[in-house]
Amino acid sequence: MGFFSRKKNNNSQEITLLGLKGQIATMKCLLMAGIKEVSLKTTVASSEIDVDQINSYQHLDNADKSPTLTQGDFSVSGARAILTFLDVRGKGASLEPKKARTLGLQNYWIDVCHQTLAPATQAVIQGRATEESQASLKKILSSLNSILADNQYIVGQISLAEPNIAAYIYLLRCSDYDMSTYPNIDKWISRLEEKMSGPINIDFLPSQIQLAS
Amino acid sequence: MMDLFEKRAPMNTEEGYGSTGEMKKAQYMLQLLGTPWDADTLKCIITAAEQGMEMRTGYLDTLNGEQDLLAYRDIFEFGTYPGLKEADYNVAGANGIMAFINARGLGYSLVPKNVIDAATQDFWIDIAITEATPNVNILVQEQIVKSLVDTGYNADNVACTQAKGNLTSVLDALDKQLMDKAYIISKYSFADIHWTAVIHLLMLTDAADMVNKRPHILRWYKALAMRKSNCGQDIVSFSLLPSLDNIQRKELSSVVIKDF
Repeated sequence: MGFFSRKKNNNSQEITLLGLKGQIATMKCLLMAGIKEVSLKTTVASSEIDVDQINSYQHLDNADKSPTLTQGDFSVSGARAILTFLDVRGKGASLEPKKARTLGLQNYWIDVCHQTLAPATQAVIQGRATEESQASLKKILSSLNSILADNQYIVGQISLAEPNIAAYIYLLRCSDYDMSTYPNIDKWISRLEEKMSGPINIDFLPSQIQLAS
Repeated sequence: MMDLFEKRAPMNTEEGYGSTGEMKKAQYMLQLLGTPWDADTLKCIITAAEQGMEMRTGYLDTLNGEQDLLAYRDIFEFGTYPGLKEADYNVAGANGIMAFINARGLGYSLVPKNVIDAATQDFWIDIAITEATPNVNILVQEQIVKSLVDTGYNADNVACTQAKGNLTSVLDALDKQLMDKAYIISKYSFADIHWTAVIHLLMLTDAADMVNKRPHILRWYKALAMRKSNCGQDIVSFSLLPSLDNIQRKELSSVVIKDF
């Protein structure tokens, strides 16, 4: 390549997302695309795949992994990787906090989300909640509600904790879970929706849950 | 009042790194609570060694549910572990701790700068966490940990066989990824740390052959055993991983920086 020749601009190539309606990992990607104002062409993966709301994808060998993002000749699967990709490709500064302590806190909440919020939400929406999972869900929602009374966003600034946690809140809302005792979470979702004024909006999120078979 | 970190992972303020004030003002020694059979705990120790951060470790008695007791829940309300303390800051869970140490530490960042490398790294981390760890954990629990509580315990062979079956395609994929590479991505990254912990624990079970039969994973694993840390200090993070004896004695290695 000559010294002044222009590099091929991969950024302008269309980005597609193969996903499943009702799958948490797909919802995280849609929320991230909305926050970062990234245009996505969305396609629905084969309905023959069982919907697993927690895991990022279904089967390692299956070509129909969901969610999968493709841009040009690059393709990657799983919410974690796709969120990283969208964070860099999207508009504005990275959602990854620069301060070590805030970054640690962001990832703490993502871990809590994976280890505590995800299984409790899954149990509640599938109607197999035990007293323990009900209590666990209430505890984490109360904690988030308290944090959001003082903070605009979960770790203060908007971060990757937002799409990771908001996806579960949408899932709970869709399943008619009573969120009335958590008004600060509702306000936080409204703030996020105000940010998602780009080409992706919340209409892409499911209004009804397709439960795992 | 002395908290759980001070009881289990006390800092040695008399000697060693940091005791004579050579650290930056903002840098303190780390204290970690975890267990030697937990992949997440091992990932945090490796990260601290790679980034040249002195870390005192202590055993968290999860066998008796210590993560659910008030002394721990007062610090981490959901009982998430491993747990880390740095002066007045606490954070729990491998992802939080590793990111914090990476940002605080001395070596170059373990997150690739190139977006495609960063996304590929996260893809492999995701597979390590969601596809490999649950199955390796079944083998470790059945063959090593449960007998610590009940010496007469016989491993559930059906569960172990199923876990090995689930790991086959995952390890095949990793072996293929490592075919022409020294590391999982183009350079040493968080993906290598996640997989080091998982593969090391797998090697302690009767499924070690699943690694020995895959030449590229085996080459990568052996190379890591001699690799000096990311920060350039004279420490090999791999040497801090627990042996079977360490696990049975519930021992964790601390990260001690000698060439400061």
